[in-house]
Amino acid sequence: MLAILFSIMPDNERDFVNKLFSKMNIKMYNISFNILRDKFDAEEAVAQTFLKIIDNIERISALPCPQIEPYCVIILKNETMNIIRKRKKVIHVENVDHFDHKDEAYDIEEEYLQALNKEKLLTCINRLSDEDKTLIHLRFANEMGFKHIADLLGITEEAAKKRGQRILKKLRQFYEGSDEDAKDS
Amino acid sequence: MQKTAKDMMKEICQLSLQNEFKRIAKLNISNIKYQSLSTGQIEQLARKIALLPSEYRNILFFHYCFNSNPNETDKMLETENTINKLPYIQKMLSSLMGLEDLWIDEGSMKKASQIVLKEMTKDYENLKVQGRPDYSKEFRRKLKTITIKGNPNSIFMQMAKRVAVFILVCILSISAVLVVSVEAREKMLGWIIQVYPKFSIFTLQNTNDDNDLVKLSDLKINYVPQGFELVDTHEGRTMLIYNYISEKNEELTIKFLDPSGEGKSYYDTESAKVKEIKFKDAKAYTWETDALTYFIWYQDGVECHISGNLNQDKIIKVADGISK
Repeated sequence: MLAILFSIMPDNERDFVNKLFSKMNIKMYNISFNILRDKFDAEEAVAQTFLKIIDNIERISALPCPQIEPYCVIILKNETMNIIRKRKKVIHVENVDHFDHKDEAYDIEEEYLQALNKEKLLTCINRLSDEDKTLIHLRFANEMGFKHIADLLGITEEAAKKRGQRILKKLRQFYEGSDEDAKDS
Repeated sequence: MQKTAKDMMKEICQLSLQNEFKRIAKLNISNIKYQSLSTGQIEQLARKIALLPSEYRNILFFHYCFNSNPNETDKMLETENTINKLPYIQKMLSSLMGLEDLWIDEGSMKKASQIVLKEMTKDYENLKVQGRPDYSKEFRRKLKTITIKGNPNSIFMQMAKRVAVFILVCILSISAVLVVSVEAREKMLGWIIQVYPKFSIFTLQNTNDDNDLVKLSDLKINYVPQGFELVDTHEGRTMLIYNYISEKNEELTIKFLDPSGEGKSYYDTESAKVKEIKFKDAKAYTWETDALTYFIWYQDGVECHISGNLNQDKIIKVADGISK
């Protein structure tokens, strides 16, 4: 029994990986290539994905069959995003989440922001309402574009931009101590 | 210049976001009231999930679709702090759905996440292949010579695991011999249970090639507790799954698996005591976690699993009502 366990289990897992690789690698490569537009990086993303699959083969092989491919695709997309983050690649497709390259409606505030004290600004952000905090977290921490934010909030892009500007104005007023003005706005 | 200002805002907002994760995670769960969503609202929620930053969306997929715990998610996605991010995402989506102080309940979150995953899978299936990869020699060599590493990874842990499996197999084999006089068909049947700190793997071994085995759909569920309704059925080549939900949004999942599928079943057994009982002339296992009660057994040539927000007596009553 022990001998059987020793010999059979790794072979099954190796077969599983090989089958998965044969079935998925070309599509995976194409998914990644569509995002990265770089052959080498796309291959790297697939390679990293399969190394991760191999490292976690017991967990993955135990998933119900219909979940295995989606699980692997999510890992692939995550690896692709990691490559983008590491190498600061330009994204060429719109459906990659929320990377926005347009310079948007912050021009008025830009110079002002550079001169701010970080800790003080953090305190000011904490004073914002939950809704306002969510918007600026999505915009700055998650680097989402206004179109995506607008879709998520169920408002127009223009309204999202205006809300963004109002929040920055409010922060400015908090920062400068004009609390009363900030409350009124 | 603009980049500098944006980078600074990003840094501060990330700090602020970390504070929010902590704040939400510290909320007293017992004070949170949950709201079940209608079908239309679940579809709306799914659209919002699809628009979330990929990290948040993946966390939801891993939690609600793949039943991964936060540590596994962090490991697979190379994320941090999933344990705190998950309630934040749930709270954020609840606010975006206009629920104010109420939170979306787990059942609705699960359904919406599954809808998004299903849509994403369609995109993958319909993808047109435009180019073919030419992997580096290094990667090809790696793939060829790969040594599959299980979890846990160290040689010591692998050996320990195999020894544990061996001992369990021996114990179960002896037990099977003792049962022979009662039911000859169960003679060679046994469960291998590999126990890890956070989960256990259950594998049914040596099912005989009975001639009178039934099809999975031949097994009938004759009893479910009052208030539960069948909401979904999944039929695969080697499995049949029935999902029930009660009016109070309690879940009940009944799985019938063909043992020839050679599948391993991974279950959350962290801090749970797995109890062995005799049920329908065979060994059966039951345990309770914070969220669910589990019961697995073998009958009529089929591996049967039940999990749900019910106590053990009720779960066993459901199991008792299953027959050809």
